Amino acid sequence: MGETDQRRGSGRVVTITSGKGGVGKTTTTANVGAALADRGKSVVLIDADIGLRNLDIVLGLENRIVYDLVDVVEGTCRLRQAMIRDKRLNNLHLIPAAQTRDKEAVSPEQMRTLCNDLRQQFDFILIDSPAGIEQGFRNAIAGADEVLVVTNPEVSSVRDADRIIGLVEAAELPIPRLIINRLNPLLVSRGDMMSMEDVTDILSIPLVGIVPDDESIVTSTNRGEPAALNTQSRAGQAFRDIAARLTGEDVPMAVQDEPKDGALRRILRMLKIGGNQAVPLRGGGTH
Amino acid sequence: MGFLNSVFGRGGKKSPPPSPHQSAHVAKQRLVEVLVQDHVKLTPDALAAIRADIIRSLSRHLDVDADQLQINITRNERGENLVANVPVRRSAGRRR
Repeated sequence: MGETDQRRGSGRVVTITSGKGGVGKTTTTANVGAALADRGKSVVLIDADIGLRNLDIVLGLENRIVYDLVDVVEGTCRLRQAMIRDKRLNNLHLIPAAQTRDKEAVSPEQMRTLCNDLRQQFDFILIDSPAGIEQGFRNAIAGADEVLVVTNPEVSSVRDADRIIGLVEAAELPIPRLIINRLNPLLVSRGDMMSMEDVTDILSIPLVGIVPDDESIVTSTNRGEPAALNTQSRAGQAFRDIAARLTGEDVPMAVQDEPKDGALRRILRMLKIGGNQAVPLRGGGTH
Repeated sequence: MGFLNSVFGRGGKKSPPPSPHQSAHVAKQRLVEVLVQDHVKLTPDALAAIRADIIRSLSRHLDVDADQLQINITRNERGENLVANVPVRRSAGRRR
């Protein structure tokens, strides 16, 4: 393709953000990054949550850190020296956050410069944004080509996602895409959790993935091994699907938001436990 | 995929509509209302006044179900849209 912008290589800078903390930004960054690398893409992950370093431990790379993001932008080390190569996938890299500095240690302009350098070397640059809407968030989107907003199907994270979407649009970035994380199909079928349609009705942005609530995320995070590399993990599959969609593949949304007859009841029936009264089910949450 | 299909009920029977008492429905309604305020800076009082005005004005011509009136704010590329959904019981009939 004809590059008109001299600063740009072919890499895409994708920022993962949410507004609210604890909705799964870091887990999403680690897993989508691992899934992209597993598909043969060259990937670097940047932990932009300065002062609250976490992406390293989620990926099991916490013992390898010498230099960090602040060292890179301050010129204490060369870019290559701060990149930690993943132990499983040799085309996956991490630039960790500084643990003992604060958000003001990096400026939006420095992030733009860094992203431009990394575009020359990688297919995907994924930035794990800190929670909040202040400077850490501003830094995280400064060099972005596109933004993924992670939300959970509950009121506070959806409200914060709405706020973040407004800020991303105000920053003149393309309309962000949505990841609904920790969807529980059983609760949705009972009408006790907002469905995919409820959330997309409210937020009105395109959906790029739905990740089921899945304990394999807890166990894989305990071990520092991305669930996306575990073919048995349902959440891992959802993250692999997101990676496929980011590379332009048309993958149907795998987790139905509205189990028509109730997931648990079907499982129980298969296992021959419980009758119809076991789980009183009404309709799904869409209308 | 057979297992997944049977678990997630693809092609299964259509679910009944949600009851307004279900908590997901309550969550969605509350979010819609709070986002109206966040976006348009409409206070609950102003929204209630808009609602009353819509009902009053439509009631002059139609038998509307005032309890079922829904006001939503939706977003598209051009900004916010206020959408009022007003169920009509029946036409009040042509004036003679």
